[in-house]
Amino acid sequence: MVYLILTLAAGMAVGLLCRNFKLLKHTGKAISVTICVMLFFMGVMIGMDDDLLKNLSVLGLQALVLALAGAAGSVIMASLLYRSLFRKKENGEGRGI
Amino acid sequence: MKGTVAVVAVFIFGCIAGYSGIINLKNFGEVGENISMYILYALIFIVGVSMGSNRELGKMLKSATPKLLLLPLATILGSLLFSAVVALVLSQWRIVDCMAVGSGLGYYSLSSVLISQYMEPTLGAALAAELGTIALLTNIFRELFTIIAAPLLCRFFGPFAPIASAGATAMDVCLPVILRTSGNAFLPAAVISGVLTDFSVPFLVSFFCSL
Repeated sequence: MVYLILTLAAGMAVGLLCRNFKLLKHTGKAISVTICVMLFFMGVMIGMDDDLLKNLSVLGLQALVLALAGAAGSVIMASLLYRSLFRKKENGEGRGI
Repeated sequence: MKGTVAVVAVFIFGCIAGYSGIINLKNFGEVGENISMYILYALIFIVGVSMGSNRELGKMLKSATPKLLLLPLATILGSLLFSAVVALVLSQWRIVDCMAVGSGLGYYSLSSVLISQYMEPTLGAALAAELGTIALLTNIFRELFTIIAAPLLCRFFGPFAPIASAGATAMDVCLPVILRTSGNAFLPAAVISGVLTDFSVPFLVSFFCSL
């Protein structure tokens, strides 16, 4: 994991130093392409795994439960936060920040 | 939305390629086995570059109130808490397994690869790959859910809700939806929350993988 952080830091250093290079405007696209390539190979590895494929429908259902749970947890906490600290209670108007 | 569809499509193409044997990674030896990890490092590097080179981000972070830092915190805590509870329902996985998946916070590409790599010592290669796939699906579902349900989330749970639901994707994929439903005033909140949760994903996922 340390290597990941170092790689991230290295990238940030490069980004900071090379701020004026026009090439950096394309980092967004580069990220999208890299994500696609990465997920392609993840797909290949999973496609090669017969045991995994047998259980796919079970995995999908588990994933759905986890997704909704995670989102629900975040939403509820954020809602409590907003109501307690960020909303003007006198006239019920919402605040931007 | 198009991006997510493209990503899901590419993933499925990869599955088909692997399943049909068109691409057999075993033929490429060690590089083939670890190729996801190499590409991951490339991705992390590029993400670092984009973060380092972004002038706007620095200004935005300086102009925001410290109170806003509570939003990513709430997002992370809520996600972890509810993910841990799910472990009661999914008897196959331990609490820390579910929390590892939940700490992906929508960042499907990174969390899935990290989990399938770092859970290997604890769970073995097969289960680690399985949990990694669950993480991938979970976080894709979370992103899709946020995009689809944002108006409802904002209406019933307040303008922070879509940002929290988006988690790490609040600053990129879900940002347009957030601005449309919560309003343009919430741009700093979305960016700060997105960046901080995004940044926390590798730490949190690795942490739960090590338990």
